[in-house]
Amino acid sequence: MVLTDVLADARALPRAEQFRLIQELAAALLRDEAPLIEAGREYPVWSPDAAFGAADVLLRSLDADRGQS
Amino acid sequence: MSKRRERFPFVMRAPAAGQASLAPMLPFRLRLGSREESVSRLIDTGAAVNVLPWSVGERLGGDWDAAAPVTLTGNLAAVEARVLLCEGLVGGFGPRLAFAWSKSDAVPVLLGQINFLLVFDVRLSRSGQWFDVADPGAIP
Repeated sequence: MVLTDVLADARALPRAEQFRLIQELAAALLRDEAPLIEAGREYPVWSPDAAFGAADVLLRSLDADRGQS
Repeated sequence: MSKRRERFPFVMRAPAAGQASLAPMLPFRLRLGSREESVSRLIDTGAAVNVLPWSVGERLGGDWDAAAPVTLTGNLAAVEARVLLCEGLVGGFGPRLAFAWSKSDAVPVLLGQINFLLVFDVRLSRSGQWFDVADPGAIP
């Protein structure tokens, strides 16, 4: 089955059933994705993603360490 | 000398969460002087720096009072941190690594841009559930 066939069939449906089809598809997509990201659950993000000052200090410390060895 | 590359599996961090909890956790040993610690660390391309929890640095014998302070961001902004340098031993690799050693055990061990991703090239396949760690330039 290809999408163009499905769309042709869908367009042939009564308007109310077209809305129901949209709702069914949207609900199925949400169900598929629900286990990955659950509403109301806490997802801590620890990445210090913009700690560029800290990154600079680490690089300088490594340079100084190389100079000593 | 030929460039080295090693492959590791993604690890389930929370068995109850199943596949959703798979993450690139690298088994590693850290060495500082005569002390060594085995840890499993998360490769985190979004982290600007490597991060080490308090207890790991303490067991390695890190000297908190003598270490230079660094400022972290995000969830870690309120956590005091200082520089800790040590050897990172994984397979045949043993580079010098720099960590932002935090004064908290609530933080995970993170391998970030400085300097883990500076001394290693990494290729990840979440769908294949594996990741490669290699010398710079060893991954085509």
